[in-house]
Amino acid sequence: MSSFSDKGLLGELEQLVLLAAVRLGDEAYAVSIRDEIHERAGIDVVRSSVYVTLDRLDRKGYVTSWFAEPTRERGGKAKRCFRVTAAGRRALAAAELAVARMREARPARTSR
Amino acid sequence: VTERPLPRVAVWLLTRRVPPEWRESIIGDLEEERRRRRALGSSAGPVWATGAAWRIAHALQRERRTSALHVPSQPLRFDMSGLTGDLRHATRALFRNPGYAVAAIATLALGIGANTAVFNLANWLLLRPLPGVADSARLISIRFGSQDTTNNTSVPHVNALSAGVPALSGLTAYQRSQVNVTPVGSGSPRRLVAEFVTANFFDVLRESFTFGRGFTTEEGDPGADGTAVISHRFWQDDLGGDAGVIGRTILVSGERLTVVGVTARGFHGVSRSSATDVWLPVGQHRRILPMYPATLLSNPKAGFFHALIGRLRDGAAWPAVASQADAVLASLQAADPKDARLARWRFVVGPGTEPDPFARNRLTGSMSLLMGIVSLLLLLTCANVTNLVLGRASGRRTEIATRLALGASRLRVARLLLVESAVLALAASGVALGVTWLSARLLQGTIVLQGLRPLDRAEMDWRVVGFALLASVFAAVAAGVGPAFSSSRGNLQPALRDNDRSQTGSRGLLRRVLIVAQVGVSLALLLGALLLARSMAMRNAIDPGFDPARVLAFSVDPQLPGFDDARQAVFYRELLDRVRALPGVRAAGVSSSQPFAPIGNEVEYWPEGRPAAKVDAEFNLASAGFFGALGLPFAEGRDFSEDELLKPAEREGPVIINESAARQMFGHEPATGRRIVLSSGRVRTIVGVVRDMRQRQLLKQPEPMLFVPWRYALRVTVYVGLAAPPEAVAAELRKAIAAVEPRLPIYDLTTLRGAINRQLADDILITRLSLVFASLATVLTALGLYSVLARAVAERRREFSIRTALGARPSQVARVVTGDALRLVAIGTVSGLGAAFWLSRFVQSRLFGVTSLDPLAIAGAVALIVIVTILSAIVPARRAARIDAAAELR
Repeated sequence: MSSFSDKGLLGELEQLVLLAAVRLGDEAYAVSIRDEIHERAGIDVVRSSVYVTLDRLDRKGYVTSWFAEPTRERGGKAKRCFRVTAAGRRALAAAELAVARMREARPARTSR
Repeated sequence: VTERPLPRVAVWLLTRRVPPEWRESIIGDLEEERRRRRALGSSAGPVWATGAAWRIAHALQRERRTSALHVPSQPLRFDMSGLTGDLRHATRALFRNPGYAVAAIATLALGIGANTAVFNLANWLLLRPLPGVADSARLISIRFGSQDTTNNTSVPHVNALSAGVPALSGLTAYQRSQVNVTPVGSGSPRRLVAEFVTANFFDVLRESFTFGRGFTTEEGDPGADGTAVISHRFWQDDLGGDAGVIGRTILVSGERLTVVGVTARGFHGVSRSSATDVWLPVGQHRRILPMYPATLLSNPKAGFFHALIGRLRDGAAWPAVASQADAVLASLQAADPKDARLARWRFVVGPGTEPDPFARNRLTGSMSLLMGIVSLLLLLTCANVTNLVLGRASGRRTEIATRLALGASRLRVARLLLVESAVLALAASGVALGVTWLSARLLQGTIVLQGLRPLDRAEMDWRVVGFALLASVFAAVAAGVGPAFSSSRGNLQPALRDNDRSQTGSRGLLRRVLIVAQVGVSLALLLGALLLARSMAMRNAIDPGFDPARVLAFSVDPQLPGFDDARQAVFYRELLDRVRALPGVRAAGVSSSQPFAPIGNEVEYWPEGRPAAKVDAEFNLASAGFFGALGLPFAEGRDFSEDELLKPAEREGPVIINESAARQMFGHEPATGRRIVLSSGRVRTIVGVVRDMRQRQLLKQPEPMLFVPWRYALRVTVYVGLAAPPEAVAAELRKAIAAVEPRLPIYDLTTLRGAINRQLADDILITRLSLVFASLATVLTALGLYSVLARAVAERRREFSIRTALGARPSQVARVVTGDALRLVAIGTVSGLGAAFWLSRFVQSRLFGVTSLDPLAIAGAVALIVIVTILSAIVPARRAARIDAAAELR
């Protein structure tokens, strides 16, 4: 609950990016996350949206980042890798729980 | 496959427009994706890369801009916690660099201090509410006259207004008069300003008393026992702060009055410039000043009250009072259609309690000019501190670059630097309040502006503290913004290499622009100050016709019970005899007019037999010895004789005129022996023509004057010609007069030089302060110029070494530096002269004998600036010339 009221609901894209990062573990960075979403969900996320979403999640404290060693195929530039924080995991769980509860609650309406 | 780097536009977009923590990784990501796409055969050319880079940069920028909407509370909390951190950091940084901190705080304190001190004076004289008066914003004033004249209002007219203006909950009136006051049982007599007021005066003001109360309605009756309210100052200084003061008796013009109240501290009447110490019910007027006509208080045509003060009823505004007062005037006119005064004048209603619009305007004008001068000084100190901060910031480029490289935003770094200058300015405003307190102590007891009584210690209130804080906020922003943003910008790479010390690009330019502006402002201040000083010199060079430093004047008013004409004559004769016998006294005489007092008597007269040649002259009573005391020689004829003074007033008698009057009537023919007719019908024979003098207005050409014999009576001013220093004679004089009549105070004892200075008080204050401020401004500019040059020399050591190595003589190297300085100053001087001409219109009205284009003042100001420039260039130039090229280039 608290993570909802403090930081707002997780958006669809935020959930997708977080889930992709959880799956990728230490290999999560912008390019791989976009690939992961494409492969698993069949959704083509606009490139810039991935950066924006990661930027936002970072500022909400749901992910942390570090720089990996630069490689040659990246023109000698470092990779910015992401890991989902405990708060990020709680937010994901809370979002899933909220959706699940909403589904359960549906029949109750008729009893009134 | 040839590896082409990403297009430059794409890299530029990503480095300039993307948050630093993203920059490198996004370039890497694009590089990586480009390879992959190329392998897959998709388009991956410069257009694709640039488009992708632009979209990412744009999206991230928008996200950052609007992120506050997405994440409501977080950024604010983050900022605040950061701010206390910044504050701690700034304070620590300043403690680590005490020399810099002290220099910056001292400079700012100078600017803020000058502003706060002048504001404190303005606040004391103009802004603060009247002490002890409740809800003074609801008070209005009414006077009888026109926009630019004021007449006294008769008592019946005040009564008509009291009854006829329902928008007021109360109306009171006062008339000022000087009286002799003697505390019974202690102390010598003194001359004080008294106000005769309607009995409800203090009720209308809702004055809070230190002791006692205001007047009751019964005490307003002419037959009632005499009562008085006294000021806190009089109670403290003259009654020794006696706790049992209520019920004590004081003698006012010899009448016994009982003290019923002591006003709040600092209350001296409703006008800011008044110095009232005693209040008396108007019913007592006849007993205390019996020389006035008996009908003074009942005749509707006899003006009495100087001004009226009313309190607005709840919900009423002063325009309503104005229209109701108009209605009262109309009914008065209807009752007496022939009254010329009623036909000509009206009741002028205005908000506030200041009845004299001229006094107020003069005060406001002088204070605004001073505020203008000190705000220029503040700008200048801000520029100097900007220079200091810039110098320090370029020493901290490595630190700042590191912060930026570690991901601090420019705003964040700029804020850190701004917090530093805010801490400096805040500390400076503390010092400034100290300076203000000190200035109030120094000014205490002086007459700062013409027509004011000697100043009390101006106490600082919340307005002054608020002003100091406001000035410090302004200074922090003015001195801090430029450096904050210019330092947080730019190329980090060279700054992170630790040998880089160049004063390049915008910072060097900013410092140079600042110096040019400083030179301009100091030049404007210098020119203004020199113009004022030249005017002062011109005023001091005026010959009033006598030597004002060698004449003492004092006044005496023989108001005592039983002091009839005969008794007064005995008193005056004894007084003059004693004064003339004192050592150091050359001559002594009496005149009815006070020296350099604004008001005089005019009389119309004409040569006997030629009534058509009617002219005006100033009319004075004078005794034998008066002209001798001033040292005025007779152009023809003689002084009055003692016989002529003692003769009772007759239809005929002698008169002495001055040269202007003689020329006006008789051209160059001799005037002695001719007869003139005064408008009163009296015929007078001219016995002497005395040289012209300026006795009323120093700055006006001498006007025609008539002197008729004084008959040892009435309030007069005694003039004493000195053959010794005035201080020595003054003390003896007081003793001698106290020996003649201890119950009569002498007052306004001053040399005529002192009287002149009192008349020119505004100009003296403004001239002195503007000289002080202009000198400070010039010194500050010199310091600023020195620091810019010194830094430039330090940064150009290599260049100077190379010049020397290539054969330049030390003098040539030095000339590079002085040339640099003179170039800056030349630009500053030209622009400064432009500004100075525009600004000189603000001092135009205060100039005397010089125009604002006075060549001497302009040349002086420019010469001073050039001299100061050369002085501040000497040390850096010598340093440049002495660089050891061999050591530097090794």
